[in-house]
Amino acid sequence: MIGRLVFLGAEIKRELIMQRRYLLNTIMFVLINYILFMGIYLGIKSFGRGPDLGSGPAELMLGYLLWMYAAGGLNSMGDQLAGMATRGCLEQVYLAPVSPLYILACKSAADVISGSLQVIPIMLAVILTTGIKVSIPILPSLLIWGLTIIGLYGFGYILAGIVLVHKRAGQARELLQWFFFFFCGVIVPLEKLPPWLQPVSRILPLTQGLDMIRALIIRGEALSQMGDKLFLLFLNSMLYLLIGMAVFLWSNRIVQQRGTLSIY
Amino acid sequence: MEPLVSIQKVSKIFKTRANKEIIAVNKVSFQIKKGEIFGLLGPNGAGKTTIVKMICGLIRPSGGKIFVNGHDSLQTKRVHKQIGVVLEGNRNLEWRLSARENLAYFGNLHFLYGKGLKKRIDDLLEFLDLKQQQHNLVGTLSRGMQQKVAIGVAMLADPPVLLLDEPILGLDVESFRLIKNRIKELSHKFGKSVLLTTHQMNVAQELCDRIAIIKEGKTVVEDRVAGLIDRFSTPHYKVCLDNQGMNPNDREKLMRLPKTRFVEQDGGSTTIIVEDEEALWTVLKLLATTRASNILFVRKDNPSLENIFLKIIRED
Repeated sequence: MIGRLVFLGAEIKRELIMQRRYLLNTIMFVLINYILFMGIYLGIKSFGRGPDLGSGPAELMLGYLLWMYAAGGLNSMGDQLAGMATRGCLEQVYLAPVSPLYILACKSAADVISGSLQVIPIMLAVILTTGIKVSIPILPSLLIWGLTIIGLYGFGYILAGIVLVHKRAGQARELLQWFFFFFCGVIVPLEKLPPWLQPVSRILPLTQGLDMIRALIIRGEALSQMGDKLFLLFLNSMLYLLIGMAVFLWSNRIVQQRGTLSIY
Repeated sequence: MEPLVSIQKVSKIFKTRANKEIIAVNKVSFQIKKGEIFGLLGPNGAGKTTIVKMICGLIRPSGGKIFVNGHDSLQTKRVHKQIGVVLEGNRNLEWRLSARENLAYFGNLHFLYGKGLKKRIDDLLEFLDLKQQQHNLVGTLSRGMQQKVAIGVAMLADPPVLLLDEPILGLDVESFRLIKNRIKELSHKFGKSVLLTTHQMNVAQELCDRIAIIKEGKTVVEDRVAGLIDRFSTPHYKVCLDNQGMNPNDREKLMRLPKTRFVEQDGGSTTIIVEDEEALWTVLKLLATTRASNILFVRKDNPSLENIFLKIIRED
């Protein structure tokens, strides 16, 4: 157990070293996301979403931040694999005495943690410059956020499997990322989606997580009032995670048979 | 003694995009004992790297079994605790980290931490003569330095088996000598079992206790280095003659003698290769009776592994 924590610690430390070593890149990431959010926020404010849309700036901010994590969760595993393959250390990392599933989970967790260090300044900057006020119940929010991210890891594993076998999965990744952005309630409320798309959107962990986090933070609902929804989010996320893990292990077996693990 | 690595009739068949089968490794078997350096030699594309990767579990064999310290190679988590690997080429390190950070990172990945890891890193930096460069980013180090760091990474968890795929390819003289000596030390002093693949026959001859030569995925021969030399080398002698005053008729007579051949001739001297002792006496007697030429030297040639390797590879 300690060994596995040490493994996770190594990945977090490596990510933090990279963030520090490439500080300019880190600062640019924060700036770009702040500008992107402000663009969307001011655009919506100028053109008006209308009161019937029911979403305020706080909802938009939470949606945007959760989507950033979702995009990170989606991209992280595939990006890490492709990065290791191009840098030439993928096989050496694979020689660690753990499952490749664990390797990717740790790399993604490290990404989430280092990503949070970038998200926090973005959130603070948004709050300071827009005057959006939110009071966040930390533990319930973390629980919902964590379950949502677990489900997104499932998609991350699927994309990592595609990267492993087909070596490039950029377009599949973009497709999922923007699908989540537009059709999971991040900026367009669920009720405004075409009727055929709504059931699809409702079974995605980001939609469920976002809905619950908004209920918790903006509408002030208690976690105890969301028992059914929480259980559903848990089941849904686990299902996506298991499917993702199965696809990744299957892909892993294919590259082991083909001998193409390190080829990129 | 129980072998630490046991390869039993291992095969690997790859399929091309056109669904054509390519047999990369064909029923190869060998064993490596504790404290032994085993050389895997063969021309490019013979299947050496595929065998190394199958031992690590990075490639799945199509047939046969591989055991590392009693663990099936398909049980990758267990096998990875038994091996340290230097893969061919520049494919072992995180080049955006320094040498020391790489050792710490990969040490953590092998569950090492704290003071124990720090001491291990210090010892390895000393052992591999890397103290001066420990804080340099790996991407900025020379090929030799990177290779030394890669060997350090392989040794971090002190595994009983080291798999070194072309560890000395492209190194400068100093790094080459250091790595060669360290490999010898690791096996003979620290009891590590080493699988070494190389194209450099002099290195294999100097380092390896036993050798397998593979060609087109098949083991052509496997033996101790001395055994191979005994089995495949034909002892021969070189007789070097001064050309001055050599009579063409005498030269003709010499050329007609059995088991001799003229291999070299420049302005000043001629070399005759003589296949055995009996033939050598015949040549010397003829030279003495005809007084055809002055003998510059007579030498028994030590056969090299390189010659044997080429002979084996060229034969079917």
